[in-house]
Amino acid sequence: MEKPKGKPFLEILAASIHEDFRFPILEVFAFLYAISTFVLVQIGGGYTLSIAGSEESLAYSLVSIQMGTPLFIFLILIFKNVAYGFGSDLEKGTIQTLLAYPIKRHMILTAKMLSAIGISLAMFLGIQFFALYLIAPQTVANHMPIVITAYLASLSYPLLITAIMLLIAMKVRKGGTALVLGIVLYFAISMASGILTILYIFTGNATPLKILAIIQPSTALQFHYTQIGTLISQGQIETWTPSFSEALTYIAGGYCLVAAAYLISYYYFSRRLNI
Amino acid sequence: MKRLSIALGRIGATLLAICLSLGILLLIPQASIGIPINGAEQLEPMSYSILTPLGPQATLTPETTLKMEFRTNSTLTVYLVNLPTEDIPKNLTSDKLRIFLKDKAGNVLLEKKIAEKETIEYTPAGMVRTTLILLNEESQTASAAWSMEILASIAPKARLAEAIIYLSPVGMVLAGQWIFIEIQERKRKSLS
Repeated sequence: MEKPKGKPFLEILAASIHEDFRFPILEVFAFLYAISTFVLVQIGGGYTLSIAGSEESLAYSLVSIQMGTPLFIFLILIFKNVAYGFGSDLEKGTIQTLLAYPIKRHMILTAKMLSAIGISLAMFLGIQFFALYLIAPQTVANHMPIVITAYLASLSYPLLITAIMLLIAMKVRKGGTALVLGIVLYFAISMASGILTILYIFTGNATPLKILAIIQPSTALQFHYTQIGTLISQGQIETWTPSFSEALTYIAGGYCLVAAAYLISYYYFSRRLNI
Repeated sequence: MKRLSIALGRIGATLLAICLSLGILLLIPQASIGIPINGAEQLEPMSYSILTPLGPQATLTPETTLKMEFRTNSTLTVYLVNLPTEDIPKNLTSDKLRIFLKDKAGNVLLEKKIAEKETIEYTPAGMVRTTLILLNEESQTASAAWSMEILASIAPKARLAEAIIYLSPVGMVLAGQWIFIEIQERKRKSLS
């Protein structure tokens, strides 16, 4: 009797979910997501009230303020699952058990990523939209494309970091080392982003920001909605205010980078990784 | 079957964790923004008065609640409308005002009859311009004193409470069946 094709994939997925989200990891992270989502909106509440000119910019600022800390918590969960979890699988040899399944390597990686990223992402987005509908149902319903664009722009960077971390984990094959390198990479890019923003503010040259917007497309959207001036006289140098379509181009560019990084990871896992 | 029970149980436990966080948020009190505004009005029979609690250009966002306290010696109808003050005609009869508000039904955020002392709280679902109309439909002159303040909160308490009311029973049932099956399993193991 022929075995159903989906079964090994589901077995690996179930095993990965069991490993990544042991009780009470899922519950603790759900609690942290929910509480940080609301608390951050409160802190930004006065700010939103004073700067939001139109309901469209209110929708954007609501999403961007609400997303701040939960996005960082999402990254921590991804770091744990991808860098530490997958790295440990390679280090301890657990991955060999998975490779024994009658399934192609790229499907094994897909099951692992679905568990590590898919569930974390579903939980993150689920709580975010739930909170948005609790706080401002009308604003969210009226400006759904803006809300979705804001999430797409903000998630591109964490997904890129995850793909790079996955590659690092496969290369070093050690959970702890991969985690440390992932954290170093995250802070290095954060510092680079700060330096590029300061460069723009001090020189009035928008090129550093445009480079940053490819890696972090949320920058383009942020500058589209909130005009951040330079220290140079406003009369001489114009501030960078990308149009909405320009911001969308940066988002598309960002996801091309993400897709490329994942493709390299899949190729490496399928063809180059010797286990 | 066991896997399905575990999956549903974990979903239930996650819902309970979310309810716990919402419950904690409910305990955080609201904070008053700015200074409360007070005023008093004399309303002729079948007349109305237009008030702009936040000023003519200001808007109310979903993170804020407008708290209004009224004292009156008669019965008044309070309307909170999402319209700029200049769009509301000033010299209509009470009947014509009612027709006008019926035409603009989509902009009427709140309608409430008040008598003696009443407190009304309103939290918008989106960004709204708030203009208040006090309507006296009685045959004698009414005097009304009002006080208004804007409260900032983590999230609208009524909506938070509603979410907890709906989510927590679902979470309890889902997590409960999982715990029950786990206990049964342990008993069976200990017996064998």
